[in-house]
Amino acid sequence: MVEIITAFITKLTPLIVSITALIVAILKSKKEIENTLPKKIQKQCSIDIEITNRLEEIKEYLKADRVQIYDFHNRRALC
Amino acid sequence: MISIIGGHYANGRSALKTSCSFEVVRTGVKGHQKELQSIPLTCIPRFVETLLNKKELVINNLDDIKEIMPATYELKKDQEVASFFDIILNNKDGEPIGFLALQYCKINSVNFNREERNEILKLKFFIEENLEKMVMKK
Repeated sequence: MVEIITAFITKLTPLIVSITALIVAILKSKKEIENTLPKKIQKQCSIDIEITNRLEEIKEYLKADRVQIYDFHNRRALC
Repeated sequence: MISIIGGHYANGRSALKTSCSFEVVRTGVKGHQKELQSIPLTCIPRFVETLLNKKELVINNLDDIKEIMPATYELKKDQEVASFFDIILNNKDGEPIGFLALQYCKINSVNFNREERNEILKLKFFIEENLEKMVMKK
């Protein structure tokens, strides 16, 4: 009986270790995504604002009525 | 630069499009960014071809392109454009990624001197550099 229990525990241990490692990895990734995404949005916004400011400047300098930037792409829609 | 994945036509040909990603307008001038999304390049082939070949396009009277680029004419006319200057934007490998458009509601408004052209080129390089940063961050 003791042998059976010992064998069971021996087989179960790697499984528990693997599951724990997987959970830890998932939680870590989730935290990383949470930390990275807002930063990316912030950086993207600052670049967007910089570009828009430069477009405003050239619009005034050249007395243009409208200044646009077009992107070539292969997606269904950009927004 | 233009992704090979994404939308395709039935024969597998890539369905390339262009979208207005930035727009600034003078007070009282209507913005059109929302309507200018995902325009198939097949709708404006002559315009795109000319822009890719010449790298820039100066039109001082929109009526000048009425016959040769009818779809582009309609597109610009809907925006009440009378004259415009478009210049191609490239990535660091020199491949086209889009274009910068300067538009005027009056004809014969595109007559830039050397200093003004330099400012446009500076802006072009600034945009290219910053769009590249956005790509690298993804």
